[in-house]
Amino acid sequence: MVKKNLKYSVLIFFFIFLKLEAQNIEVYAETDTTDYYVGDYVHYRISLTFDENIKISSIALKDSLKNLEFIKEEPPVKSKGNKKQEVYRYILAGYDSSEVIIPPIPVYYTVGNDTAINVITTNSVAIAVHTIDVDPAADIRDVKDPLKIPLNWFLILVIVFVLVLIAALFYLWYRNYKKKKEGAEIKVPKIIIPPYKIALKELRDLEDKKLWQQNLIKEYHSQVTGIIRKYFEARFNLLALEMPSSELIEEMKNIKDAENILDQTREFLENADMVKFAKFKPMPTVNEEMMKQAYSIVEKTKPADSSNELIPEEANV
Amino acid sequence: MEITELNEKIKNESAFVDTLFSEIGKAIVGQKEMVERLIIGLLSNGHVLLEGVPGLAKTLAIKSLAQSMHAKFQRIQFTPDLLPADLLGTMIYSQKDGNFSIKKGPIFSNFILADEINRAPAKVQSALLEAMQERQVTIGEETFKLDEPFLVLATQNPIEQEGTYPLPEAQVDRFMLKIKITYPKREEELLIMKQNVGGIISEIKPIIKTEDILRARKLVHDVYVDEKIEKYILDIIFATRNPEQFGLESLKELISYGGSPRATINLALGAKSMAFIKRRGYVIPEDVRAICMDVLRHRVAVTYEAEAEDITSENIISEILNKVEVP
Repeated sequence: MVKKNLKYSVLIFFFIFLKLEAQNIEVYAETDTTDYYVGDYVHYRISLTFDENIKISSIALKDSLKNLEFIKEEPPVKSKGNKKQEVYRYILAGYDSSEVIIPPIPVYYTVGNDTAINVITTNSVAIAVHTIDVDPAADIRDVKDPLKIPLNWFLILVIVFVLVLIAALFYLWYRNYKKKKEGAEIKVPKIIIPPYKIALKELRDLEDKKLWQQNLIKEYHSQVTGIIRKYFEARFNLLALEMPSSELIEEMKNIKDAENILDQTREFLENADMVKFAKFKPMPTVNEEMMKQAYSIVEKTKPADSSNELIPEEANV
Repeated sequence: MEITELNEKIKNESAFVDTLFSEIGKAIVGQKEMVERLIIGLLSNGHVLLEGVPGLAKTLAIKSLAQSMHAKFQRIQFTPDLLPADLLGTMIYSQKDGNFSIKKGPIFSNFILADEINRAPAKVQSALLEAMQERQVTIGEETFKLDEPFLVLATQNPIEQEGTYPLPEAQVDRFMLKIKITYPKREEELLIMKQNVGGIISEIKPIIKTEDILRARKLVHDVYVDEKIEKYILDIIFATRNPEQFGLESLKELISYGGSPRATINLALGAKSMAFIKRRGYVIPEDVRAICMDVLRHRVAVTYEAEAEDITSENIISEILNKVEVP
């Protein structure tokens, strides 16, 4: 009998010892308050106090929630004393008005090197979610007031500095531009040489080159017509260099000062065109005649009063 | 051949052009430029695209040109349900002998009037334009050369664009000339009214043989183009590609792409034909300028910026012609 009692005593002692080992971890769950409005954040905390050799594996909160939405998990707060303390913080929200009970949440952990997973559950927490009382007689108003953003003095200083810098740069540019403009206005007046004098000089230069005498007949005809076209461009304000002969003659028909040279110019240009574009080889007399015609066209169309004008040599053209 | 000799020969051989003008003039009042360009297309062996609002005698002009020659003429009305086989021909199964025989399409003619070409779907346009380029057609496994002269004269209506298939740029480039037809002058319109209301339209008689055209084409090739003219043509084409090099910086943003080498070839050919029509054995800058707009208007593409400002390829070409120096 004594032997039997001793056996039971050993067994009871063994179970008591195990029970003590299992209670080396304590868990407590709570919320910041028990009354919430619909949509309010419920700050839910699970506080754990446990021995050094215990390691928390996971907390199965999300799977256990009913009637509440899981919003996010905040980083746990951990502290060390005689025993380890960890506070796991969660934000939940309720969108239905009701009495809600957050059920006991399982916390899984391991002890020492043992790979076996143990579990301990939290206490349940009861909260109440209320709707907002609406007064139908009251004015319509925002649910919440607009958020006030505090003044960022550093940003304001940066903006002011950039604006001042832009203004300074603009002022410097404007001063420079004004100086340049004033400088440009003090230019020496440009000497304008009448087109006929330029043409006559160019014809003389062409004569001196003796192109057709060197068998450069096409080149000679191109240059002599080129001088006359350039002269027409300056004298009659025509796009003579960009117009073919027939179009040029048509345009000149509308110019009073050119009436007396129309037929002459037509013949002059057509003869040159034959040499330029149709491999026509004119007699030397025709080449000489072309130069005479060119001089004649310029002389016949020069302005009546041209006694006091500069000649190209004087103006260093 | 000496230039004087060539000049004389062309003067004699091109006499038919005046006869042709007067024969076509029996049916067409005014539109001299259009008829002139059609003949240029004929002489240059290049196809012509005519664009104009309805009722400007586009079809009549082409028909009259074809009627004035001893040549086979076919008019094809392009419609959305047209098939390539309707144009080129197809293989027909003969139940009698159990063989396939070839049925040639209307493209096997000297003159093709492709009326309202933009009304047919792309595959038909493509079939026609391929035949235009290759001058041959393949039906089944057999390839057939098209008759000479072979000239496609297509018409296009710039209005009523709904349900049409605009020709892609690459295909429009195959037309040597794109002619834009405008309304006749007041006195011309009066004559048109009198002729049509009074029923006094004369019948056009065939006055030219196809051999005359082929002979004239050979002569057109002999027309002398001086290197100065060649340079002028190149300057114009290059100004469409790089306008900034010709002092036309403002055009750079307006041109999407300029004239192709095919444009250069066609401009030179067109200028030669123009000289032939004017009964000259050599090309002068006037010939180049006269044909330039019709050769380039469909080959110079404008950008969105230009479109937004209502600037057309014609405005751009005019500006280039006013800027590039004449030799």
